[in-house]
Amino acid sequence: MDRGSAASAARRVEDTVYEIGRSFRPDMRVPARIYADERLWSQISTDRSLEQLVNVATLPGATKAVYAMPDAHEGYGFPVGGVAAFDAESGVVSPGGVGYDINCGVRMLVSTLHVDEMGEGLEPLVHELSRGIPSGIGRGGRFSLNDDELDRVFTEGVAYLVERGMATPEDAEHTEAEGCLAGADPSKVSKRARDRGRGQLGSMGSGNHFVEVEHVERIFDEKAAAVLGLEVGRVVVLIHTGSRGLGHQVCTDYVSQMDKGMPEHGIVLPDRQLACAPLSSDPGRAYFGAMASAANFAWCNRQVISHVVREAFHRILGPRVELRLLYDVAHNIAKIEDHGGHSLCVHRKGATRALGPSHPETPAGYRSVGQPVFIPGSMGAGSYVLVGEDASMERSFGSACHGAGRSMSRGEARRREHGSVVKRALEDRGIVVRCPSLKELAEEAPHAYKNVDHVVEVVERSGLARRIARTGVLGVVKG
Amino acid sequence: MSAEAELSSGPPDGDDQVSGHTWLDHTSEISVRLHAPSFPELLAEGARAFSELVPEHIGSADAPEWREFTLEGDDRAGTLVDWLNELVFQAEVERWVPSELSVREEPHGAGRDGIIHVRARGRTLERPFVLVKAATLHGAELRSTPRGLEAEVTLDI
Repeated sequence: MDRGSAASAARRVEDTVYEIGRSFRPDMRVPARIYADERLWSQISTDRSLEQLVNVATLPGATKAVYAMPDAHEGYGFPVGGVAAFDAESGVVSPGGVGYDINCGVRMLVSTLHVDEMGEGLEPLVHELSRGIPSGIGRGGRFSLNDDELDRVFTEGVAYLVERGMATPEDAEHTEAEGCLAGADPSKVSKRARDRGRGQLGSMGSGNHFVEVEHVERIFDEKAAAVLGLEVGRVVVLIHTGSRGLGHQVCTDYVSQMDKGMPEHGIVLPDRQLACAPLSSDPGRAYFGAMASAANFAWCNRQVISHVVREAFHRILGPRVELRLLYDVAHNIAKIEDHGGHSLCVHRKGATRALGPSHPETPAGYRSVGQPVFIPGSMGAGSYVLVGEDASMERSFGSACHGAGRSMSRGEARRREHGSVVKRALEDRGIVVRCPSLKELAEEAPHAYKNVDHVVEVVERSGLARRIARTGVLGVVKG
Repeated sequence: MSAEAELSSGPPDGDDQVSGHTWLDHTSEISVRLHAPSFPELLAEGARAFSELVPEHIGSADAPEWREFTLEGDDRAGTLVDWLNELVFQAEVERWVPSELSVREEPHGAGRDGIIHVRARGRTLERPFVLVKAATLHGAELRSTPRGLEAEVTLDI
């Protein structure tokens, strides 16, 4: 299938919705729906995103429709920004549909500081964060966990860190799934996965991962912002990372295992990276148990980093500064969810859960507004805080996008601008930057991403989530 | 995925007796196209391409001891991906990347692909190399060409 054919088969069915009907390809089980306006459509339809979304629509048990979020772009197997749900009894689970960085996600800490109170503290703070949070392509974490400790991370999630003094009960309450996805089975996590992850708790990794010190620049809904504790000038910290090598190896193990087992299940795939197994089968259950373990490791990873951030704020800006976890959301995960009385295994690959106010899993303190959703822009561009809408349950299985979305390859980004130029441009705007590699800085340059303001506007127009606040960047620690 | 070359290794086009690789653009990941006269040589070229990703700022020292790996399977594209994932693990956990390889195929018989034996030595890294999360099966296939075999593999980074 060439790229143009999927695009030409699409119909614009709403202001911000394009649809590729089931008749486009005989193996499609459900239609493919893409949330985009004309401008985003022109980007999404030029790489392999649509072809990949159509491929996902062929998987057994696919329900209702498969979706691409406004930040979607080409991935491998699933497109990044893809959402698909499969019947929990008769459908499949696909490791590639979650991705290698299981439970990569974003959390926001809200400080008691106003930006005007930072004084000269910003540069030493960012430096302290870069020292305390291992990042880049050659650094591991702060701890090395033995197998018993890893098992507790896998099965207890953030609650284990409450016991270890690195989290509070409120941290767990304000984490998706309370920081512990049910169904974790440590016996299904290989030795190789354990060996890759045991030294990486509290580390950021490389690529597009980051810790940013930001401040609230604009409020869109004063009442809702007050519920979230946000006001103009408030200093916040955004943390983006995942399950590190542990999650990567879990995915590697099960993609390989399921790929070899495809004939047994009689499933024909358009792309081997979509390797899957019925969720109710032994390999399906084994993957889910390992994936949930890795998801819980990821929540603990972001929590340990939060602990380090709190320590750094205390050391540099004083012991009275507090940092409250606003929320933590995954954007690479598979979860068993109830949708209209049907139990579905919802895969979000580069997509954020966005529950509305009335959903029982929205934390009690946020039920008047909805679950917080974070959409970071490109490096230095700032981020958005949104809240989920009840309507998103119908429109996208309760999902919104996870970022601005790349519009350019890493190679092209490097050819356009050297990392030193990118760094200087950020510093000229008063942003403090720490990055272990200028090459990686160039790959994450703002011009390599879509415009986050526009992407978020389309999210809101699509009824997936609504804007509450926009932040600006003060300091960046890049992975 | 566009097919624009970023960096190539190997002979100029037209020399069909040796191996090489070309890095390809991908919106969010990286892909590599490998070519070699035979499957064992394709695996060796994959290792050369992977080692090329390790930046100089991660210091390293020669590791004189030889390491041995055995690869088995009737699906050669899958075996290539498995081999690259072995290298991902070695670089991250063992802090080791190969620089000198000998790859040979032991006939299996009964119409099946042979067993691959890799003997390699290389460098010990000062720190784990964690850039590559995994080699994926996305679009993985081996093609016969006039100069031998060709394959593309997408690496998640």
